[in-house]
Order: sequence, then C-alpha cells, then structure tokens
Amino acid sequence: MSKTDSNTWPGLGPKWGLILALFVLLFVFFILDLLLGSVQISIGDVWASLWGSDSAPRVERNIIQKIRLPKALTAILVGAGLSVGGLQMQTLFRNPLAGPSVLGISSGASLGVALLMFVLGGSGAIWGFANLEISGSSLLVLAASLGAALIFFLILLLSYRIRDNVVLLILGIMMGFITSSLVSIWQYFSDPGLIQDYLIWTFGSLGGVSREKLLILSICVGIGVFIAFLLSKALNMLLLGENYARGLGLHIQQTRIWIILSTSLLTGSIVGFCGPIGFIGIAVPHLTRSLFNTSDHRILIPTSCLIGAIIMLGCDLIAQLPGYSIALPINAVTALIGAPVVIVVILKRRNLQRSF
Amino acid sequence: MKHPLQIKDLCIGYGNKIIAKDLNLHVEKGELLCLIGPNGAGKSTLLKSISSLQKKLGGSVLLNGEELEKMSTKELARKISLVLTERVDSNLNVYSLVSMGRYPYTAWTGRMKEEDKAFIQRAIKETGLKELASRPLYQLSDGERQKAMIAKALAQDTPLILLDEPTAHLDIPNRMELLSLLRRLTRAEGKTILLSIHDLEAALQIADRVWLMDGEGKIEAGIPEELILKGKVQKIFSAKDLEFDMQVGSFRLLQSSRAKVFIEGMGIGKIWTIRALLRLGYELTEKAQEARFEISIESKEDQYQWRLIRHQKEQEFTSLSALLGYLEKS
Repeated sequence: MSKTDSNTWPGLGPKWGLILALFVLLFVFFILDLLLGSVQISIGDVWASLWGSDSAPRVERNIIQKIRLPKALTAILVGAGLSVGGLQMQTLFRNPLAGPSVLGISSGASLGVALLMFVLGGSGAIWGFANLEISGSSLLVLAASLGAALIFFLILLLSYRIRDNVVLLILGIMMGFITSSLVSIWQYFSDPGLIQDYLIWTFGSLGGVSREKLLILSICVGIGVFIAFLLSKALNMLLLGENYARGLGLHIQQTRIWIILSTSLLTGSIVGFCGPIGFIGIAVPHLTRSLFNTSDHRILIPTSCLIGAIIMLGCDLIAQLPGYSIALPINAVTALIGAPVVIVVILKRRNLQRSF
Repeated sequence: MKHPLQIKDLCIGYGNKIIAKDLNLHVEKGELLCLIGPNGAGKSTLLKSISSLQKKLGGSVLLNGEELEKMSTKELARKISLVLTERVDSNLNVYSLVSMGRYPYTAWTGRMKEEDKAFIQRAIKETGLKELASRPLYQLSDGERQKAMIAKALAQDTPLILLDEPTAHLDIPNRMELLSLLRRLTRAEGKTILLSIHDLEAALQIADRVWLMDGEGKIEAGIPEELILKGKVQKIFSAKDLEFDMQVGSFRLLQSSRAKVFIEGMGIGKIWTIRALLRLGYELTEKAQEARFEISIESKEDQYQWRLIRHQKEQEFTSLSALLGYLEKS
C-alpha cells in the first residue's frame, strides 16, 4: 500500500496539539493553585519551596509544602480518578447520565463512613474527623470503599436482570435515597458533634489530605486508573453492546468485575478522603469526548484524567475565592461548574446517546 | 469432509422452554444459507446458540470439526463474526468500527499492525464505504450502517459470518443490494454465510440453500426451489387469506371472487393488468364462455390500450386506472 493512499484514511490517533495545550493549562493551574490563597506568597518563594530549598521563609515553606502542595496534588488525583470512574460507568451502562454519584455509589460510600462513625461513635472524641490519624483514615477509606462496592454490586446484580438502562439508572437513584435515609436515621440518633463532622465531610474538602494520606490516595487512584487503562480495548468493544463485544472475543463477566473494582476503588478512596464530590464524574467524560471527538478509550482515559485534573484545580482556585480568607465547600463549586458543562453538551449534541 | 459449521443433536431454548431439539444440520463451505421461518419460530435463538451468545440446552456445534464449546471467546472470535439486530448508534466513525474487527488479533493495547490496517481498508472498500470512512455511525442510513457492520465482520477475517435479520429495516433496493453483496462475498472471498431473514421472496431468490424453520422447532434443509416444489414453504407460511403463487414465487392475498374475467393479450401489459385485477378480487378464467367479461390488451408504439367486452358491448380505455375505475363503478 502506497503512502499517499494511506493518507486518505481517517487516523485513529489523538489530537496531540490539544493534549500539549492541556498540559500547559494543567501546569499553569497547578502553579496558580500553589500561588493563590489566604496568605500571599511570592512566586519565587513558591518555586524555591517546591524544590525543597531553604531560601524561602520557614512559614511560607511550610504552607507550600504541607498545605498547598498536598492540596493541589489531591485535586489532580481527585479530578483524574472521578473522571475515569465516570467514564467507565457511562460506557458500561451506555448511559450518558451515569456516574459514581448518580448511581448511588457515592451514597454507598457515605453510608460506609456513617456506619464507621456509628461503630466508633462511643469514642467519638478520640476519633473526631478533623484529626484522624493515618490508621483512622485507612479505616475511613476502607469503609467508604466497602460502602461504594456494596452499592455497586447491588447495581450490577440488578443490571443482569434488567436490560433497560433507564430503569437501572432509576434504581440506582432509589438506592441512593435508601442509603441517604439510613444515614438520616443514624444522624437522628447521633451526637451533634459527630453529625457536624459528617456534614463537613459531605461538603467535600481537598485540604484534609496530609502527605502520608496522599500516598495512599495516589496508590488507590493509580491502581484504579491503571486498571481502567488496561480495560481500554474492552471498553471500546462495550460501545457496540454486549453481544457484539462478546462476538469480538470479550469476556463480559470478567470485564464487568474489573470495571466494578476499578470504579469502586477510585470512587471509594476519593469519597473517603475528600467527601462525596459530585459532577466531575459525569461532566468530564462528556467534555473530553466532545473536545477530542473520539470514542476510543485508549485516548479518552488519559485525556479525561488530564481534563479532570485541570477542572478540579480550577474548582479549587474558585473555591478559595482569591483575595478572601474563607473558602467555599468544593462540592458546591464542582456542581456550579459541572452542571453547565452537562447542559452545554446536551444542547450541542441534542442526543447524548450519540456522543458515545 | 469437515463442514465450516455442523450442528449435532442441538437443543435450543430458554431455561425450561425448549424451542427446538435434535437439530442435525450443516453448512457447506462457501455457500449463502438463509434461515427462514415465521416470526417467533426461533431463528434468532438458533443463531445465538450457534454463536454461543446464548447457552444451548444440549448437543454440540462443530466448526471445521472442532467442538465450539472447547474454544475460548477469543478463539471463537477468529472463527465466527456476527452482524446482529441491535442498532449501534455511536459517535464512532466507520473506520474505528471496522478496526474493532481486528481486536481478536491485537494485543491488549489494540495496536494495529500494517497487516491489520490492510484488512480494515480492504473490508471498507469491499462494502463500498470508502467515502464514508470518517463518518460517525449515527449519521449513516440503516443500509450504510448494516454495511459497516458487515465490513467489521469482514475485517474480523473469519471463515464463517452469521447475520441476524440483516435486511430488517431496509427498503427493497437496499435489501437486494445488501444480499447481493453477501452473495458476492461467498463467491469472491470464499466466505461461508448464514443469515436469518424474514423476507421469503428475497431469500428464495438469493440463497444457495435454505433452512426452513417451522413453528414447532423442525428445520427442513434444501435448495429453495425444491422446498417449494415439495410444498414445504407453502405449508409453513400458510395463513388464512394468503396464497403462495407457485408461478410467481410470492404470496398473494386471497379474496372472495367478485367475477370471472377472461384476458387476451400478451407481454408485460398483460401481467400487470392481471395483478391489478387480482388485487381487486377478480378471478381469472381460461374459458371465454365462463367469463362475465373479457379484456384484451394491445400495445401501439409503447402505449397500451384496453378493450372491455361485456354483454356484447365494446369499450376502449387508454389507461389501466380508467379501466379499473369503470369496472368499480359498474
């Protein structure tokens, strides 16, 4: 086949220029996120502290190294993880509105956290949320992950019986209501202090992740995204529907289980550390598909990581309300950003089913 | 002699419900085989059981003498490719869709080698989709979409292709185009093709052989003409008010006879006049004295003329609709 002939065929590669631009944007947002905050720090000091040099004053260095850097890295992990989780859900259910939070997986994580607090409630003072130690936070993550996995398995069991995705989605939402009501019951009988801790957890926070916890979070997100990336080809086949996928040699059962594992790990760990952060998981995959105009998961998974990270950093920048010493709850900001994205994509495409 | 597909004592159905059992059939290499039968006879179930999309209840399926059950899904994907009834409405473009046909041959990354690309491009050219290669699936017509799925199956490079109702949503020209494409694939590429189809007339025209499935789970195999001569097709597709016309090879609505007509003339004009009269419920007769009236058709310089003779009176018409309108009124 001659070279000129092969040029007339559509390429399958990503838009490299766009990817480069997004990396630049990520870098800019990352630096901005370190730069902006209630305390003014010069860019020189930020740069110096970032590389661990002693030239910056101690307080500033501590703020950068112990607070802002972990927070910015957390934002990147959370954005990437939730986006990949949402992408997998949307493809598995072939439903454009699927995402960790819509299908009740986040509520499951909340239930796990609430149950953990209930069990440990007797020693509430020791286990207060703000000062959970690393062992405590591992417990928290475990509880959130188990809660998320429980709901996900229920959804999956139902999905074998129910072929209709809309019905399944409604069931997921109902499941969310059930877990929320269980949490309400727990709250009704709980100590006001615990309830407040729980409420603050539900607002979402990128700031509660210390450097040690960051390691756990990055391992969880890393494994989750890695599994998803290995599943790229399988996810592509699922776009054609289960029967076609099987006809192309896909082992559906195994694939489903791996997708569950990856998504539960991603959602569970992120919800555990940062609270139930909504909308990123739904909005970013749509944004990525529409920016790159592709349905190929080999491109979509890395690029939705990238876009998710950028958007999460952006949300964090907005949440800090530059110039003010207070910060908005991150969950409010993601919804404010995410909902319009979904609306725009719907209006542009008219038919979301076609965006897959 | 090993057949590309052979089924032995196959039993198919859902759970406790057996749809068909003791099926012993085979497909010859390079033939276009149509599976026909009334709605609900179990055509889809049979195809799904053969391709192991659905669990069979008993018996065995052999591909080139090899037991299908012992193959992994990936091995199977290199032996049978599928075109199914489900509609794939996606932003995937034709090229990406067809490239998925190579997935059973690629590593987990799905990276395409030059050889894979050659298969993809050939499949697209073969199905006449070259111009549409970068078009997303949701912008395709039903016929183009079906061809894209066939291109995917071709790229999969399997000796056997199964298609479930590939012509279901297509109009007649598209339907015939698709079927002749499939026929060409059996002739030019040596593919063996098994498809289910509910368009009996098309199947009888295009199939090398037919599997005729009745409502009771029995399957009769044979060449189409033989099954008609044996009266099998007529029996299975019999219905009140419907008659299989052995002359034309198609079904006709039966209506109570209004009057007997004797027709004189020849050629195309006669054939279509007869069709119009039958549609309106008139009956033809061979004997002029039996007929209530007579119609004779003449053609002059590509113009037809109809002469109606009734009660010894003659009347001329220059169009078929005028003739029919006159008959309807009187």
